[in-house]
Amino acid sequence: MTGLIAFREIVLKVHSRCDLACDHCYVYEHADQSWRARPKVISPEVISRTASRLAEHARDHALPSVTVILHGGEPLLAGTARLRLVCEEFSRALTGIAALDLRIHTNGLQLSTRYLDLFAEFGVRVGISLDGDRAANDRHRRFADGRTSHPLVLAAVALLRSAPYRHLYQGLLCTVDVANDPVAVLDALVELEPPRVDFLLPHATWETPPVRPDGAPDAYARWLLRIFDHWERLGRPVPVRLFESLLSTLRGGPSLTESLGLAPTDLVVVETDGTLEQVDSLKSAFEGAAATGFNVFDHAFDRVAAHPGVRARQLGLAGVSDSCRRCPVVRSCGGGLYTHRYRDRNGFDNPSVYCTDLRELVDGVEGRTAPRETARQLSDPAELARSQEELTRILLARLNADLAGDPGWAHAWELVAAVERAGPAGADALDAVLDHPFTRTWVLAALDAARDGRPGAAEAARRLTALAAAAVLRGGLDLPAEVAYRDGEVYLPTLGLLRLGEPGTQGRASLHVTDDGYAARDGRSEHRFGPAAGDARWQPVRTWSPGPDAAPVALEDLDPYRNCFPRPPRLRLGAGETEEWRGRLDRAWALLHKAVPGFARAAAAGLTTLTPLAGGPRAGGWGEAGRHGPGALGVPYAAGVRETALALLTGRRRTRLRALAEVTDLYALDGQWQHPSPWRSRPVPVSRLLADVHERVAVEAYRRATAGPEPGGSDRIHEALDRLSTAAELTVTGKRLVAELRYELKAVDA
Amino acid sequence: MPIPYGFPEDGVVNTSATPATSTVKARRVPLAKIDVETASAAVTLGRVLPAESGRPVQAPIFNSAL
Ligand code: SF4
Repeated sequence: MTGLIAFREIVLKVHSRCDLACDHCYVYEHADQSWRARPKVISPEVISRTASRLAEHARDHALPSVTVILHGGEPLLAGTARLRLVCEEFSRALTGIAALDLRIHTNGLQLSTRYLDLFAEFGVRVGISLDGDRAANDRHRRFADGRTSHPLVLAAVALLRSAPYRHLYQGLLCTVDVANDPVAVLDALVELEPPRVDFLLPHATWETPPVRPDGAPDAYARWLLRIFDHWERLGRPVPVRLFESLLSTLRGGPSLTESLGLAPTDLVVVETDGTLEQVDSLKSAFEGAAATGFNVFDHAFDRVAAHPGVRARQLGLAGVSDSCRRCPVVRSCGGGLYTHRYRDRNGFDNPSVYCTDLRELVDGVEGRTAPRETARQLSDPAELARSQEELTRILLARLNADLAGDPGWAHAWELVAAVERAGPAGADALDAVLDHPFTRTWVLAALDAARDGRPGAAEAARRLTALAAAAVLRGGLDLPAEVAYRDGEVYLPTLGLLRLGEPGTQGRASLHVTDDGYAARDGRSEHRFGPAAGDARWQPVRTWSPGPDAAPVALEDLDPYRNCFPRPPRLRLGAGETEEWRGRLDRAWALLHKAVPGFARAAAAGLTTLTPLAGGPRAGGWGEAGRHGPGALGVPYAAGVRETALALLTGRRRTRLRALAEVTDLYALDGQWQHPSPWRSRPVPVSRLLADVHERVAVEAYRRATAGPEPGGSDRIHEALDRLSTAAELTVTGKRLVAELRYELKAVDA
Repeated sequence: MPIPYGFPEDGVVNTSATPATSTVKARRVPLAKIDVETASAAVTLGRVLPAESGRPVQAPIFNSAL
């Protein structure tokens, strides 16, 4: 049974009747009336059988934790003795297997200290249904004889909020009725200081559509958006699951509730008689809709996980209707709650009966929050640089977690930590070597090796030692700088290549700072070298200055990890070759600044390292970005001035997009849709289309300023931008980027 | 002999994109103290190491309870 998603959430029906008669309840008032035939209270046999089935499931799937939600009917009607048995059996069965998260969801009427003491003993967290203020709550939540339940619910919440029990307070669940005043509803909920709140759309299907008092197809969206606006005005006083889910998916994250988004459903329902059912809101659809034909006595949970109805809700995009798959908000909406898609004619293969509401709700929340939710890295290059620096540090820490057991690595790690502790000069010097773009290349390669189980600790330790030594030299620190060389040489990141022995030999040497450079001691002999002047044993990293006010750029032709571009790097350039290349770079840079000054300035920002690549220019002369930190760029050494200019421009555009995608979410579910591309014969994933457009806007600007535009070039870019504007994958940040590309293209067109 | 920022000589290019001795550095977590098990580290790593982005343990999603 591979490919099954394990259940992490069990809804345990402990009592099948209720002491309220809410007219919007899906259990009693809707299509499925199977509750009539069920035992009222869950039996001890069902409890212990379910507990052991869950333990078996958690063990088989190595689940770190499982959630058991006690539900009904009204679960408190089961009584304290039966609920104690539930708590004891599940706690016992899961001990040593998985963490147990116990919850109960109640109408609160019966909630007393007897129950709460029991819940405190087992850490059962309590959620309560409340539809808002008294007027709102009384609209549906009444006793069978019509009496209000409101004062009793408030008393229950007050007890739950009192000192000994407050930590058990899980939150309030509110069913929407658009006849209620949304502001009064939210105020009433917030006043009770719940740790979290959620709003539920009343259960409905295409057969029994929701009540729409004024006939408007978007009444629920407007109602919820008024709640949203009030929630914002109050300063988001409490997390609201519905809104948090939308904010999460709009940013590119997961959805947080089964009623929204494409997250696979990982819950199963156990009825009081031990039958296993799909989510029970399905009961709104038709008689028997939730049934699976399985029960805890005869079947493992994996059998239910393989049930077609359960699987349908785990398929993500493949599990929603055709029109939902083409909908721009489907990542956030997900076609709504499964139940709400039902139609007699074709089952669940439909958009939600709340489709218009959901679309407006997602768009409404996005429109209200997009400027605030857009990642700062998009508009702030310094923030992007900082996040990239942090990424390298986290990757290195991650590598340390893999290799900490290796003594050579542990020693090197300690050297690096000592550099960082050596005051501001140490921290700056360490940043300089960590921000060397090929440090990222090395860390990623080492992580790959560790993950694939390839031996790599010795090589990684050597590089880390060299990194620490380079930082000591750069910072002029009074710290030991020991390096291990192989094949007679060692590369000191950002500084140069030091020969310490004959080819084929290996050993260690200690380095230190002198008055005018560095020195290496190997046994009794000392070799003074660098930083700038080369000699037979020292090859410094050469530089090129893009202009009087610009920081120098390293011409990196030494670092073994520079071999990370789609084509191989050149070997060390000769002195004459370097001079020639500097001249070509000067002229290419001048050309770029004259032709497209804005793009040229953007290309210059953050450029620290140029690597000469072998072979002639690529078709179109485009630059290369590889698996490296954001400061690097590969340029074919043999490219002429115009091609070098274009390589600088396009390579930097690629690097920027890549840098953004590494630290922000521009899109989610990349590859789930294929888009027609004006430049390619086959449809492409959104990441490809975005990368093409991102690069071509700059190329179009350059062409217009130099050779004249490509016929139809601008139209093709517009076409791709139009396609991107409605792509469901894009996050708020991705959409902002697309909008910026449009501005850029407009400026070019003008 | 500390090397100044942007020292225009072969061998000592500043590859750091953040300004030297910025306040950002003073506030950040030292390398040795970075916890790679946190949720935020998992998100950061998940973007560049696809193998890391296993399904995160997340809060229950059942609609009719909290
Ligand atoms: S808004 Fe409508 S079409 Fe779009 S995903 Fe939701 S239910 Fe489907």
